Amino acid sequence: MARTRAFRDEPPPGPVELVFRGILGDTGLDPGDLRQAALLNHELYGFYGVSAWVSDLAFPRELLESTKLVKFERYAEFTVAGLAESRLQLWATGQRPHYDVVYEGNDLESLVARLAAAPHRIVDNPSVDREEH
Amino acid sequence: MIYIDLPADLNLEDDEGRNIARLTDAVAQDTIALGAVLVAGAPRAWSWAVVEDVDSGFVYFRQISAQDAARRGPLVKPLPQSA
Repeated sequence: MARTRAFRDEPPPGPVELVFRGILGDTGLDPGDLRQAALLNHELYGFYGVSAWVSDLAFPRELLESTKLVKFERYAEFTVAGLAESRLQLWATGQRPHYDVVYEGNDLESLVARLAAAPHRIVDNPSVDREEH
Repeated sequence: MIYIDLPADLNLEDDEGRNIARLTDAVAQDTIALGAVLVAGAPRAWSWAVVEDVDSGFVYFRQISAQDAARRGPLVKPLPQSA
């Protein structure tokens, strides 16, 4: 049974705000990774969503690179407007600045395809923490 | 190459700011328990972690530093027996 997800009651991020998602593997924004992320979110919360971080004045890029993204060597950078043009929405879930990228129809494959194809660039994280094992 | 105990997407957080993974994805499910220290994530994005809860097939954990992990126990573990 799906858990209840906390939705933050706050104004949506502006169109020029940046949206970041840490890259899990070597191949950039991999549809397989996005699909697995959305599936797990569905198992947990009952909707297909892909976790991302939205920057703003309180959470600038440099802060996110050294906190939420600190374990990621690279991350994908979108804009809110770019996601919206792909008919993707941002739901303010959990704790700031966590968001879920969702597709209006709650359709897994459409979400994956649209997110993978949405305008983005891959950024090396200068603050990555490469801890020794 | 890093040895991942618990494959996970470190982008995903629950409402308490914890990361989450499926218990069935763990390399050795019998080692996943409250307080267990392990390596969670993916080969290009991993962290030392401590398990905070195991519930209904999901593992809730928090990322910790290697220093913190070392305080909690030895960092070098024997590899699991192959099936």
